[in-house]
Amino acid sequence: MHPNKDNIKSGIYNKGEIELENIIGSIKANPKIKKAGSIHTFTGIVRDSSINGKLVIKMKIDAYDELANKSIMKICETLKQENGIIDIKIIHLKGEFDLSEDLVYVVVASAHRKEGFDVISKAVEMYKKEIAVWKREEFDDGTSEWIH
Amino acid sequence: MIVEVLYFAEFKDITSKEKEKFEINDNMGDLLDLLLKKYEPLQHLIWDEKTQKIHNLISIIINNQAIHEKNPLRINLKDGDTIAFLLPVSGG
Repeated sequence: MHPNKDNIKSGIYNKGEIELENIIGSIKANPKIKKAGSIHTFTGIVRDSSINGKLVIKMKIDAYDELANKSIMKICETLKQENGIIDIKIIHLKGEFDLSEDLVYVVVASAHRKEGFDVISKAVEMYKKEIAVWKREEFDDGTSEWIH
Repeated sequence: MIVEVLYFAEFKDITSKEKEKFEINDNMGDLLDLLLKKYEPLQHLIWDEKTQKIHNLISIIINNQAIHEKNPLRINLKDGDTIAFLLPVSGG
């Protein structure tokens, strides 16, 4: 995808192609933003340990773009129907990542803060289960593993 | 006919390719025979030895649409179809 900074579409992007401030800018460019009282953001980053406690040194993200983009759009359309939600964008990055680098952004504009917090949480649970994205953790002992 | 297989995650690591064309006769069983003969390490990812079926964790995608068939080996493919075998997802 090639981001138009005034209208960033939710979906899969290459690492480095888009930053959180671009997404917030795009949300603020929505003519309906005047109805919002808050903008909420979630940033998923690379952690230094696996779920089994192994030391992680790098991460790779692979994606089936066409399928993942469709699922991300569906999640956004579903959550836009929730009470008080003005706009939502989900951006998942792919490529090779070092520790603490950004992997995914969820940005929600809502009329009131509670609605925004709730929908951020729902969006994260949904994208983790529903979009065609896979991560491979690389460990300090030279091994690596795709997580499922 | 010629169909194209898209590779993701482990499949990409094992094949060292993003996609590949195969010439087959007509159905998914033909394609799977060729694929597993060419890349033996894919066997344990796709094929469930106990049930002698495609592993139930695998999602089959044809032309960007998920396919839900009881016997996927009998799915008839068309020239130009794009197929992917997907393992469970793990977003960041």
